Amino acid sequence: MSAQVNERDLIDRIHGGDRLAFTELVRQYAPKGFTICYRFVENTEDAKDVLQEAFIKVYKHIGSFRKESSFSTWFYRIVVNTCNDFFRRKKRVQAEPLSVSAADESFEREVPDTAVLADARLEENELREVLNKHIEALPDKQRTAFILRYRQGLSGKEISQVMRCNVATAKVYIFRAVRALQKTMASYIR
Amino acid sequence: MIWCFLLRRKLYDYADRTLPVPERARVFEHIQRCAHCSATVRRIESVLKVAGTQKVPQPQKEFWNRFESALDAQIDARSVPDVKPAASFRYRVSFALPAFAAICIVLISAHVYQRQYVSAQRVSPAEQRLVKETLDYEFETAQTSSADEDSLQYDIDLLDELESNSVS
Repeated sequence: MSAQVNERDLIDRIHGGDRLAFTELVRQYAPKGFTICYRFVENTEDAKDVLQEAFIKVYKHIGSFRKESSFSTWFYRIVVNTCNDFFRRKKRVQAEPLSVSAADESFEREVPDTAVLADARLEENELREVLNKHIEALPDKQRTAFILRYRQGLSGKEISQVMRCNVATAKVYIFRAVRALQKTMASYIR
Repeated sequence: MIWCFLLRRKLYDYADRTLPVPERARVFEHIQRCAHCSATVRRIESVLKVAGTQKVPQPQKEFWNRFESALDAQIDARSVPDVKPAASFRYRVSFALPAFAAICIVLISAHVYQRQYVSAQRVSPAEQRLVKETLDYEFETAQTSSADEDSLQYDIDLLDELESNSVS
């Protein structure tokens, strides 16, 4: 309760243009935000950049935050959307044409030979890397729901609040993500 | 095998351990007999297990110090405008503006109406005479009609009296 009061007080002070209050809010929420970002992007540097971007959005749009809802849900939503923006940017960059040799090289490096991998059981780390690539390739909503459920450990209700949909819809996104992943991972898992 | 298609969602719920006990038992019974569904459940469980084993590094204090100063610099560099006014204030403004506009419209209309009314009062002498004549005529008519009503009442009273006399 006192944390909530403190949080509301901080938000009121930020509304009044108090930059120190914003710094205090950053200190409170940065570790949580970093965890979510890392769950999405799997890389400390990218997680840091995405989190910075998310906090800039928070600073710019905190005026539109309605105090009836929880600040942490609002913050989660901004962080998740920023992570999805990051993926979209990344996909655009990857979609840019490469020279033939560079494209071949990156293809050889990134796509493992499934026939070999199916025989030799992948180590957990390698398997996780492959899974991450497939998670990245999922549609935004499925990826978000899957990560929030199985990496962040949120419940269906919490996911629905972050994604602004009902619980059943959130569960459908998760189910579709799992179905797609188990199909694409079939050749890697014995 | 034909039922496996219908079981897709249940297999996921089974692997996620969110299935109620009786259904869980039925799905368990099915996957014991069906190699296809058994493999699917195994794959789902593997995916969920691998997804859940991700470790998040816990950055040190120095990382956060650098993070804060970099964030401050970015906010300044991008010249992010000062925090927008609170939503409640903006809503108040958004209600106040139409209300102010409505008041202005009412005042302007009243002013225009008043001007028209004043101009209507500024009549020419000929028109004034006409108005006076009209009013006089109306007054006279009113008087006449009341006189007629009086005479009618007089007649009625007379008839009543005659009737009462004849009865007696």
